[in-house]
Amino acid sequence: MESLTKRILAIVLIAVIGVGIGVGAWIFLAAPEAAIKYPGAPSGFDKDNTIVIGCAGDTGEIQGDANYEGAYFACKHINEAGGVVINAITYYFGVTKEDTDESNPNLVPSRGVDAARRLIYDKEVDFAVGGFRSEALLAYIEEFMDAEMIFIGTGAATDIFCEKVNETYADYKWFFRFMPINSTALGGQILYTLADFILNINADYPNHDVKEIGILAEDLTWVTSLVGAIKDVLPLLTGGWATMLPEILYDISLSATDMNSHLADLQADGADIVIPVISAQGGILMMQQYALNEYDYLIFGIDVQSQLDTYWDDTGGDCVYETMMQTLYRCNKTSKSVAFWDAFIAQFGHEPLYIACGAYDAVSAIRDAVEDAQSLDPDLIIPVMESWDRSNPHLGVAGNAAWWPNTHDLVAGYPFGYTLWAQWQPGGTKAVVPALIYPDVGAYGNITTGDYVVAPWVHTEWS
Amino acid sequence: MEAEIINFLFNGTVNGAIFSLIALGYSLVYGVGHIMNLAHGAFFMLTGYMLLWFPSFLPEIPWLIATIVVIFVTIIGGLAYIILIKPLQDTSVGVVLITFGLAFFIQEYVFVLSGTTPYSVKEFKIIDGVTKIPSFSFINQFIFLIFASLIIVSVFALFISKSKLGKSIRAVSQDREAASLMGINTNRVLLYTLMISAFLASIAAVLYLPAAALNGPSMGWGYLTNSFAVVILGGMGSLVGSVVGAYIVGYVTSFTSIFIPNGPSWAHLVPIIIIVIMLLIRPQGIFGKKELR
Repeated sequence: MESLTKRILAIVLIAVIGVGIGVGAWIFLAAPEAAIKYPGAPSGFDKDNTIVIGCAGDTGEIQGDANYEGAYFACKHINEAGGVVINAITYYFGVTKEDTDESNPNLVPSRGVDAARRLIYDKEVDFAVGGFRSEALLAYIEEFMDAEMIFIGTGAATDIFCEKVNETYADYKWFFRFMPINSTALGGQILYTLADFILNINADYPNHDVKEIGILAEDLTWVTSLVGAIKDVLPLLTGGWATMLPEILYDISLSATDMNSHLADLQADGADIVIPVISAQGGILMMQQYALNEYDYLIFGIDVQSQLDTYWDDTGGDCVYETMMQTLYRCNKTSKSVAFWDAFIAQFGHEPLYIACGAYDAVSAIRDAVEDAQSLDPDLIIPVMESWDRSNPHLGVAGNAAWWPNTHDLVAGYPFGYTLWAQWQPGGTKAVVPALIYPDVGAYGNITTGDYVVAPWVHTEWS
Repeated sequence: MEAEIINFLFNGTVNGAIFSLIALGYSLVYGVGHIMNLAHGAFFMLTGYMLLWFPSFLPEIPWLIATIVVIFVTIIGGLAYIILIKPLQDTSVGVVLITFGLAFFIQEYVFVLSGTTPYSVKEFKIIDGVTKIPSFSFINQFIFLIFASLIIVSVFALFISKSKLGKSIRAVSQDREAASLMGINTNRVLLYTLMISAFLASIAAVLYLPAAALNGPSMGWGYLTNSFAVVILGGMGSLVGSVVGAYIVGYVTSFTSIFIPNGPSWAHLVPIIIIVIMLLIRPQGIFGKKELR
C-alpha cells in the first residue's frame, strides 16, 4: 500500500506540474490581451499621440467580452479611417480592458474597484466605458469620478447613476449612459408594448381572456423601479383589463427546482403572460422548465442571455417562443445598423450583445466629441456631448443618442433610445416582431422581420 | 391553492431527494473520520461540468459518458483523501482548510474553462417529458430522481449494515483505535469512505442536473450549505438523521419559497437559520449521539 501510495503520489505530482506549466503558458499567452491594442492603426504611428479607451467589464464573460469587442471594433474603424485630428496632430485610438468580475453571482464589488484603479492609474487610460451589474458599478464609478475621467455606461440600467448626475452634477458630470435606456424607461417600453400586445391578442382569442400578468424577476437593484412601473401602470394602460399577479423576486443563485416551483406558481395563479426581468443566469433555467412543462402562458420580457445567438444551443432549443427585448438585430433600426451588424459578425463570428452596441456607439461618440472639442480636456468635451439633444442627436448603430436635460441619461422612445422585440422561433431563427414602440415602416425602412408566433400548446389551450 | 400545495409537496420531495444523496456522503465522511469535507459540493458541481465537457472527447453515448464521469469523480474523491486529507487528518483545522482550498481550486478550474455562463446538459436525461394532471405538471426526470434516491439510500443502508466493508466503516466510525487494533486498515476504510461520498455527490448530479442546468462554477457552495444544514439538523454522522434532515430542509425551503411573502429570497436563508438554531439548542442534531468536535 505504501509503495502504491507513493506511485500514485508521483503520478499526481507529475500531473500537477503539467497542469502548472499549462496554466503558466496560458497566463503568459493571455497576458497580451490585457495590454493596450491599437486595432487598424498604421504601422509606425506615434504612441505619444493616442487616445486610450479603458474597458471595465467582466472579461471572460459575455457581458465584459461584449464591452471590449464593441470598443475594439469602434477603435478599429476609427483608426482605419485615419484616426482623429486634434490641433493638426493625428491621434489613434487604443483599447484595453480590466476584469471587474461583476457577472459573478457571488459579487465582490472590490474587484471592480481594483479594475477601475488599474485602468486609471496603471494603464492611464483617457476615457472608460463599461459597467453591467449596477451593484458593482455603484462601487467603481466613484473611482472614475474621483479621477475626473469621462466614463460611459454601456450595460447597467439602474436609474440612480444618472440621478446622481442630476443631483450632484459637480461630482458626477463625467458619467454618461449610452446603453441601455434606464430601468424606468425600459419598464415604460415593456408597458406600452405589452398593453398593445394584450389588447391585440385578446382579439385573436375570443374564447380566452388574456388578462392575468405575472412578473418573474431577479431580486437585484436594477429591477426595482422597473417592476414597480409595470405593476402600477400596466393595468391603467389596458383600461383596467390587465390584472397583475404578485411578483416573484428570486435570488439569482436559485436552483432548477426553485425555478420550476415559481413557474408552476404562476400557472396555478392563472397567468396568461409572464414578464421575465432577468439579466443573469436564470433565463436558461426558466426556458428549460417552461419548455419542458409547456406552461399555458407566454414569456414576454427581458432575458439578457437570450439576446445571444448561442442561446439556442445553450438551452438545447428550449428558448423557442421566448420573446424579449433586444437592443439590436439585423434590421434597419438606424441607417448604420445593418452594416454594423454584418461587419461585427464578420469580425468576431457572432452577433453583438447589447453592450457591444453600446460600447461601439460610446467610443464613436468619444471620437466625435474629441474632434468637435479639439481637445482631450473633459471640461471641453462634456459640453459637446451635452449638446446632443433631441434636436441634435448623435447617430449610432443602436439608436440616436440624445440626453434628457441635466442627467446625461438617454432619451427614451423612437427614434432615440428604444429596444426591439425579438422572438426565438422554431428552427433556431429569431424575428424582430411588431411592437407599438417602433413603427413597422420607420424612417430607415422596415424594422420588423417577422410575425409573432404563439406557442402551439398555448394556442391550443386558448383556442 | 390545490396546485400550490402540490407544488410545495413535489418540489419539497425533489429537494429532499437531492439533499439526502448529497448529505449522506457528507455525513458519512464526518461520522467515520471526523473529516469536514468542504469540497463535497465541488464534486457535485464538477460532475455537471464534466458531463458538459466529455461529449466533445467521447462518442455521444450519454449513459457511458455519465458512468465514466461518476467513476472519474469517485477517483478524484479518493485522490483528495490520499494527497490532501490523509497527511492532515489529525488536525481538524488543517482538513477544513485543505478541502476549502480544493473546493476553490475546482471552482476556479471550471471557471477558467467554462466561465459563469449557464449550460444545459439535458441530453443526459434518463426520462424525458412531464406527467400532467389538471393543476400541475410533474417533471419525469425529477420523479425518477425521487425513486432513484430512495433506492440508492436503501441500498446504501444495506451496504453499511450487511457488507464486510460496511461493517468496517461502522467499526471505524464507532472507535477508530479499537478498529485498528482489530486489524482493520483504517486509512483504507477512510479512503473508501471518501470515494463513496464523492460517488454519491456525483450520482446526485447525474440524476438532477440534466433536468436543471449548470448554473455557474459557484453552484456547489449552495449544495454544501444545504448539506451542512441537513447533517446539523439530522445529527453529524447519523445516516438516518441525514435522510430525515434532508427531507425536512427540502420541505421547509419549498414551503418558504411558495407560501411566505418574498419567499424566493428568504428560502436561501432557511438552511443558514437551521444551522444557527440547531447549533445553539442541540448541536448534536436530532438523531446525533456524538458531540461536535
